[in-house]
Amino acid sequence: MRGLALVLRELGHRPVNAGLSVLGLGAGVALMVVVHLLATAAERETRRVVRDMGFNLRIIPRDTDIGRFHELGHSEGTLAEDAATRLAAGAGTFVSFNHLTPTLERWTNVLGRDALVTGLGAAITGPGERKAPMGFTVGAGRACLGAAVARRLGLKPGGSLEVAGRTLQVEKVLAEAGNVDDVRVYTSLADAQAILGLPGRISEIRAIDCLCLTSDRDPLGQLREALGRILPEAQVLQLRAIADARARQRQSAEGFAALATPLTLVVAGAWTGVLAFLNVRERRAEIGLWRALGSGSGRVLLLFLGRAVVIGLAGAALGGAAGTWAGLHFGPTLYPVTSAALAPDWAWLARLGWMTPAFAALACLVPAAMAVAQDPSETLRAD
Amino acid sequence: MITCNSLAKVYRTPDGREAGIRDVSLGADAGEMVVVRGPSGCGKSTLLLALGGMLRPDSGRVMLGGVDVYAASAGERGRLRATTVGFVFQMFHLVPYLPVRGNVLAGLPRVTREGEARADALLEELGLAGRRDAMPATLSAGERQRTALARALAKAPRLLLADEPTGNLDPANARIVFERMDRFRREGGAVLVVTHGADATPFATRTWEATGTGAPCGFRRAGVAGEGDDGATRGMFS
Repeated sequence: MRGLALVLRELGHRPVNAGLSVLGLGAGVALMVVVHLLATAAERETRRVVRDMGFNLRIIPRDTDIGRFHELGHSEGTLAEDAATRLAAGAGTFVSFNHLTPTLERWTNVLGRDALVTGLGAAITGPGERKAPMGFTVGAGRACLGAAVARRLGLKPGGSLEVAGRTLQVEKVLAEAGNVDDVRVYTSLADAQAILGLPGRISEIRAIDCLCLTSDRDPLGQLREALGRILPEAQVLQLRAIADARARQRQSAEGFAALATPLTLVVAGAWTGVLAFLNVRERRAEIGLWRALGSGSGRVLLLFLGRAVVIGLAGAALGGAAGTWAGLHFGPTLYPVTSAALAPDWAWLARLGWMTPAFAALACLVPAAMAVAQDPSETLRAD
Repeated sequence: MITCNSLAKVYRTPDGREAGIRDVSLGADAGEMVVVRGPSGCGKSTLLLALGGMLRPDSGRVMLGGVDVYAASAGERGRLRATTVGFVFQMFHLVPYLPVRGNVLAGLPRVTREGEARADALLEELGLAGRRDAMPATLSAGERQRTALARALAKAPRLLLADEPTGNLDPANARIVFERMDRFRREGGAVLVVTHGADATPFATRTWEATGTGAPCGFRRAGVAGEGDDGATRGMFS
């Protein structure tokens, strides 16, 4: 009889041991799938929430007077417009920075009152990434108005306004934010450069940091070091509260996965190993018989490791299905903002499909070795 | 077919007693049924397992079909058992999750059409054809031992080693088992039976008995009426 048929028959003959083994591995796999699905969802949710919170890095000219910067809300100096593309081209930039958005802003008179004209260039993301833009983009000849500006000027979407001789069509009126955004007039970078008479210049590059390190690990030092190598004429400021919130949320998700994964491996491995040990004990006479029939160590080893592999495959299938179901069922409640993006991770499941049998075989290696080392004469002798 | 010279194997039982065999020299040729008789605990199973290449002796030599069993590698010993030796145990040792036919086929080194035909013929001959799909747990003791005997014979071995083969059987089943082993002998096979009872004696061509009262035991040749007779003394099962 072929090895696989023997293994399947033996599993059917001892359904309790086999069932408990499959359940144990299945529970471990399910937990890992759920943790993976939810950690991915948490990451996605964090990205979305933080993206909605806005940029947390401002890269401004090195010689900017920080007092004036905070007083005005923007740098008085400027950088060349290609600073963003040069930064993007630098080695390792996207390890530290992302969503590089060249920006030009200045207070200027808009129909008799001061408003903060903010021109936004196209965001540059890491190679191969297709990230949604942070906030919004503004097309040429269009404007998005802060709530206070729109109210003051009596403007609504579809209306138009003239700034420094340039007519802009109102595309959107932003919800009241309760901060300086309420007095902004967002335009495209080119329009802002024309309005402010600063062609080819930007006042800063807005960005988001990718390090996700809390302040105790000095992320700013690392960001400055990275920036100094590529763009020495600039300095970087970090909006620490936003950056720390993002980092903490991501680290919390990663920390949970980092704890759950080894714990799951240890518990599932011990469970599988103990059940395999009981199986070997129960089959001592059978092992002796196979030896008497001429089976070598390799065949006995394969009998037990093959059993472990079959159990691992069943556990992977059961756990993969259960974990995916649980993740998809409970995920939307935990992460409502990005719930639509929750989906089975087929690549992860495929990986578990071969890793679980290998893990089961590893967990059963000691009991299988005990089976091989067993002296058949002890179980076969009648006197 | 098989001989052993000055074979010794001593071990301690869980209760601290010495057990095993000492200085045993005997053998079985093709066409012989050698019966080794002795009380429980005298080392008969130890002797049988050592002869079958399953238990390395402390000293002495076992020659099986011209091969020095314990000078051979473990793999060679395994191949020797798979092709040349059939074991029959008192406790049957059937694989509990295989049906009767599966157990018989498990005795084949490779499942071939000829092997399957031989297995089916043995099942028929031993009255198990109707039970070929039955699981061991549903079999009577006699059926289990007949299945074990069919398994031992399915590979067409040259030597049959039987350890108390009828120890758990009623006389009718014991007779079936010994008659089949006797037929195997008459067809040119060698049989070596270890037993504490006398039920194998009528079939024996040679008999050995345990010597002394304490363990480890030795064995000496016994003179038995009817020894060498091809069946004249089988009346004890009638």
